[in-house]
Amino acid sequence: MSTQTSALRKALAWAAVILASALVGAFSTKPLLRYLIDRHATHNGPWRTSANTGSVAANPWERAAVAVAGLYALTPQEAVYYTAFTDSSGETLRGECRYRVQGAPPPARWWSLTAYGADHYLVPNAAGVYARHAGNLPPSPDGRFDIALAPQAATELSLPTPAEGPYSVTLRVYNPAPAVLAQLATLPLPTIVRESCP
Amino acid sequence: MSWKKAALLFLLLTPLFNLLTVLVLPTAINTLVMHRIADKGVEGASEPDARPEAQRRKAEVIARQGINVALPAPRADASARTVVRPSPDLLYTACVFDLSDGPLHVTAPVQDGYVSVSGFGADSSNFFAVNDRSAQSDTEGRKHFDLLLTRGGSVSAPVGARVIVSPSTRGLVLFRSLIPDEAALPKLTADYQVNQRCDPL
Repeated sequence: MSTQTSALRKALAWAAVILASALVGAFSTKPLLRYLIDRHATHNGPWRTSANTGSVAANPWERAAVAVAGLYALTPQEAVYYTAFTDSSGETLRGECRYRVQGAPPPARWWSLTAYGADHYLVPNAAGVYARHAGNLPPSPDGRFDIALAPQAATELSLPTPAEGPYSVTLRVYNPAPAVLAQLATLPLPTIVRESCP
Repeated sequence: MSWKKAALLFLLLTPLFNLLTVLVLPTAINTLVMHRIADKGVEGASEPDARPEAQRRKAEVIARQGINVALPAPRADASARTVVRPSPDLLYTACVFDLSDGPLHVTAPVQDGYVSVSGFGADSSNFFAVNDRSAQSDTEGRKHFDLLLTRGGSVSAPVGARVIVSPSTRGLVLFRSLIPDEAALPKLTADYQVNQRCDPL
């Protein structure tokens, strides 16, 4: 009887340790990916991108990160995705605050700026505006743009953001000029300047 | 088991389980999302359509249960919950493919403006992309997409089709058509999206 009990206890202990490590191992994936991606991403001001996005040559962590937060992303030769979770001073982008995205169109065939909620989906807004790009911004004499990021913003120069909580913006650069691919980290990109915060 | 032994086992197994999760994650997420896309495509095809061509296509989607058939998606807005970080300035058409029974023929006309067709393997990596600039021209010089997705080996490809070998039996083909402005959307949907096709050979 006592040997049976001790065998059972031993088996239970093993099972408990294996289960605990499986849970911790699996659930640490998300923070670990976030850390690794930020560390291995190409940084350009507040923007993050990777030369290996979508690539068959991507390492397992890069591929997992794209599957979680950018499934079916194209490789940089077709499109470069610059994503910012912070403003230019490094503070997390938050719906409670207002920002201005100021810069010039990147050398490419098409660019657009889109806001996403913390769940990586588009942000509901009364105006039904989900992106700003050359096709829906008023022309400016010097070609530069100055887009306001604010909740429920509805002017033709603004991009609606969530009302609260962290969010992100993605600058898509379709059919980038060779210069973009050659200088992912140093290409002049728009700044994200915080205007006001309660 | 002593505490020391338990702690050692935990420290050894945790990174292993972590690596296993990282390795399995892309295929797991992709499989799940491809199922969702196929289901949503069938769901959307159940609604009747007044346009005869669209109705014919919807019947095909239902007959093929959303696999090896083009699934035109509405323009992405805040209600889109199938694929993360959709672009609202692109019109998407997806084809969830399964090459078990043979190659997939991918065809589409090319609009005036950016349009691309790309392929994603079971592990979610992007194994090819062709856009309007790199697309073939027909005998009259018009650009169009004409691709044959295979698992390799010898196939009798339709004349003019570009053969592309898929790294996996299952995966996804994705059309992206640029919506340059609101006014372009109706024509894009009616003249181009409806003619983006994926068919078993």
